[in-house]
Amino acid sequence: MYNILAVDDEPDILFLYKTIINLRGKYTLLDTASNGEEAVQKYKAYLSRKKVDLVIMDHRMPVMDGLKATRKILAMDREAKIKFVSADLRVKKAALEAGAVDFVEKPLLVKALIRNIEEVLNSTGDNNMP
Amino acid sequence: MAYGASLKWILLAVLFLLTLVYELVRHVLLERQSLESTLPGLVFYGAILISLVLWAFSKIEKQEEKLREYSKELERHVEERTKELREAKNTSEFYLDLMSHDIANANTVVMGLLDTLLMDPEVKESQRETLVGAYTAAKRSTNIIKNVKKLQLIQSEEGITPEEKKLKEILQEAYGMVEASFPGRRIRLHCASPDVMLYVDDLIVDVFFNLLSNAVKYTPSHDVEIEVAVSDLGREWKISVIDRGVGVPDEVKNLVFKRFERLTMDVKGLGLGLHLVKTIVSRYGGRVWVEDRIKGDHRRGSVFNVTIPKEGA
Repeated sequence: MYNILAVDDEPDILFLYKTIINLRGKYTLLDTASNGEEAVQKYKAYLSRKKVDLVIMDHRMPVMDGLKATRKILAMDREAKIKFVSADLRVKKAALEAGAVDFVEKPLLVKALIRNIEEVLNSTGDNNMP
Repeated sequence: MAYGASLKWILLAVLFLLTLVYELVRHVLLERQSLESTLPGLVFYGAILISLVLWAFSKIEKQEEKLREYSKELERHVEERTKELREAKNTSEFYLDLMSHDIANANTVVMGLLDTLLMDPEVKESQRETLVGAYTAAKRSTNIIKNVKKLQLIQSEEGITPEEKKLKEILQEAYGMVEASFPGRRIRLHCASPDVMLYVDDLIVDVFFNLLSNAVKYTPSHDVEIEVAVSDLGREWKISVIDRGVGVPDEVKNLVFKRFERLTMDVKGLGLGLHLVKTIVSRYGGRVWVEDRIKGDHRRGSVFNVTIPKEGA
């Protein structure tokens, strides 16, 4: 089972992630965060006890944006897999430069998102796919 | 008008000057009169001439002063208008931003939840139709936002860097997006020779997404067959998207790529998709046009052609 941390300031989007992620049965929505700062703190807290396989990171959020949070998480854990999600195409380059493994444009399409999550997780080289 | 008035006085002054010269010549040279006897007349004409010239110059100066004031006023006016335009641009960008972020988020939730319901095998067929209707409407709203955003991105020219991309991968990405956009439709894409490299940027995916989407939209049957053919034209690649849809009548073939034109068929759209295709392809230096799949019978499908210049061509 893969653990996912979803970060977005919109509760509706987090609810959607929960619905999509739980639909597959292969992944667990380990936790959610409503801003970059909270995401960094939660990632840090999980680092020693439970592996976060994937972070789905929004960009425009209060307190700390997605770019900053991506850099901070990667500074903590170079192996972190962060999938960047934004409606703003102009941040794509910056997100990939910051170390995100992927960029997905909002609005998200469920099938595309699921396929995309699988691609990112499969690219980790982990053969324990259920 | 002001300079016309001054010109009138200058002409009068010249006339007086000529009269003065004539008097001088007549008295001194022709009538052999002494210069002393001619002098009072000359002084008289001279005084009038000098007064006229001085008066005309003062008039010109006044007009110039007025002109300077007008110019300053005009500058102030232009500055104010520029400020207003800048504010209007900021406001429009704010709304576009709001639309692209907040509405895109709302659409994501609506479409995502509808999509999860559509994937549920327990949903009845009659309910499925309603869900597809709602999904399609949300998707249309999303596409409008996406196209407006892309056009804005092209205009601002931010973040656009051409690089070599495989057509095969571009088509795969576009096909994935189209497949996800039309849940319930069976879409088959045949590509004869996709193994070419294009010198383009990320927006190329939108070109094929829009062309493939149109092929699906304008094909009334559940199953959709789309073919992509590639031709080497020497300095450029020609990529043709061939469908078996309702086709494009001759009278609208030139209109479909224009902004806000749309086909008067049973499928709605804002007419931005093909305009976006043309805008993106034109940026690469390429061309777009549409023709009949079977020449002379537009009802049997269309061929949308795109040319992309080769690197360095």
